[in-house]
Amino acid sequence: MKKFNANTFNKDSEISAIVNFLVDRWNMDVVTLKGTSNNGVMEFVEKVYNAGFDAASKWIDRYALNSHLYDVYTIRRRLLLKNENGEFVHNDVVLMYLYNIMMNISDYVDSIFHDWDYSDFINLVQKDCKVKFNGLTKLKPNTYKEFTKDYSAFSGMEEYADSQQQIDEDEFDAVDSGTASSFSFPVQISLPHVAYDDIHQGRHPLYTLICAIATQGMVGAQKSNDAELKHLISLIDILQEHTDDSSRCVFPKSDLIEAIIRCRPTGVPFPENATFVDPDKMIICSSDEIDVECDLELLQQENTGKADKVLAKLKNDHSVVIHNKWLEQSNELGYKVTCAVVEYNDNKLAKLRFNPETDSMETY
Amino acid sequence: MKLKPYTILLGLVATFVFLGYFSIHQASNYGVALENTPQQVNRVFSDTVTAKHSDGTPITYNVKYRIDGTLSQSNFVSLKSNIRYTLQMLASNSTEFDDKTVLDEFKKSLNTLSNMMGVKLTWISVGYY
Repeated sequence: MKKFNANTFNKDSEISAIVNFLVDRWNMDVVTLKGTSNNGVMEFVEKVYNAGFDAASKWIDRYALNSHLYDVYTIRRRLLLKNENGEFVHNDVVLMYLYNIMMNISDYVDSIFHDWDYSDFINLVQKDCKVKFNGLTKLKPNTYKEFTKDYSAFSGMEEYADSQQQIDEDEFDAVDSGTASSFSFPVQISLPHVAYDDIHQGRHPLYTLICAIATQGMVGAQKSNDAELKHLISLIDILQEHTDDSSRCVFPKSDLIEAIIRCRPTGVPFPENATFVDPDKMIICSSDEIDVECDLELLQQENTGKADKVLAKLKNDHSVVIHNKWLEQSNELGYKVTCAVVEYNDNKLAKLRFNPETDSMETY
Repeated sequence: MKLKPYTILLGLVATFVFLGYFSIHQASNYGVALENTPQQVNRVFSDTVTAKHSDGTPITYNVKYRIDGTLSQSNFVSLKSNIRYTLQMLASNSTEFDDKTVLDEFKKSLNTLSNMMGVKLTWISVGYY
C-alpha cells in the first residue's frame, strides 16, 4: 500500500491496482457485462470506485485540516508579532480568514454528513451494478467454500493478521485506505473478514466487496480534497502581505473554501473587493522545492540566513512566491512583480512596490 | 536524536483516544455499514505492526490480546484498527529509546478506548523488535 501523494495520485492507477489485486484472490472471472460474454471486472471496479469517489467529492478531514490551519496560523501570527510592535496581528486579514475557516470546518463537515447514510449508498451502488453486470452474486474469495465449512465467529482473523496481512498490504499497489476506524482494503476483502461479514452480519460477499472498493474511492477523493485545501490554505497565507485593507486582499479561487466560509451565516464573508486568483495559474518557485510554510518555520527555528524569499503578486493576476535569484529572471519569464513582502534574516518583513519610474522594486 | 518530551506522547495518546472514540460514530463513513449486529467476542487476536520512528529506525510490534464482551462490528473494527494506528502514530513520534514508554502509553490508551466501548481488553503479550 502507498501513502497518499497528491502529486502522484491517479484514479486509473488505483482502479488497475484494485483489479490486479482482486483477480488473484477472488473469482472475478464470473463477472460479465450484461448482454455480452465479455469479462466486466474492470468496468465493475471502475463503476464502484467512481461511485465512491463522486460521493466523497466534498469530503474533508476536519482534524488533519484544522491541524494544518493551526500551524499556518501560528507561524504567521508569530511573524506578525515580531514586527511593528505586534500591532499587525490585531487587524491582519489573513489571520482573520484562517481563524474563520478553522471555526467553520466542523460545521461544514456536519452539514455534508447530515443526510449521509453509508448503507443506503452501498445498497444503491449494488442495485445499480446488478443492472449492468451478470454473475455478481457468485463473487467470492478463492477457497471460500472450504474456509466457511466449519466456520465460527472471528475464526481465521488471528492467523490472517499473523501470516498474510503484511504480505497482502505490501502487494496492494494503491493508496492505504485504512483509518483509525476501518481496515485497509486488503483486510476488508480477506477471507476471514468476508466470511464474518457474510455469516455473522448477514452481508453477502458482493456487498462487502462493494463497500471496500467504494471506500477506496471515498478515501481517494477525501485525501485529494485535503491536499488541495492544505495547498490553498498555504496560498492564502503566502499571497497576502499584511493588510487591513480589504480592497487589496488576494485569495486563491476555490469552491471548497467558499463552501466552508459560507456554511455559517454568521461567518466572515469574503471582502467585496477581494481579488480571486486561479491557483492553477500560479507559479511557485522555491529554491529548496519544499513547502513554503516549512521554509518559514525553518527560518524561525534556525535563523539560517536563507530568508531571501519574496512574496509577490504579479501584475497579470498570476501570483508567485519567488526566490531572490528568480527575481531577476522574472522579466525574462514574462512576469512583472508589482508588489512583494520580503522576509529578511532577522525575521523582519519589508514591503516592496514596483516603481515604474525607476523600473525597480522599492520599499514603502 | 533528542528524546521527545514525555508530555508530547501523553498529548498524542489523549488526542488519539479521543479520535478513536469519535471515529466509532463516523465508522459508517469509512467502510462499515450502519446496520451491524453486536456480538460476543471473547477470543484472542494478534497483530504485527511495522512502523518507523521519527529518526527513521524501523520497528516491528507484535501484540497478542484478548477481547471479552459484546461489540458491534463497527466498534470491533474501530478497536482493532486503533491498535495498529496508535502504535504507528506513537512510533513515528518517538525514537527507539522511547520504546518502553511507547508501549506503556499504547496499552493505557487502548485500555481507555476498550473501557469506553464496554469490553475488557487483556494484554497477553506486547513486544517489539
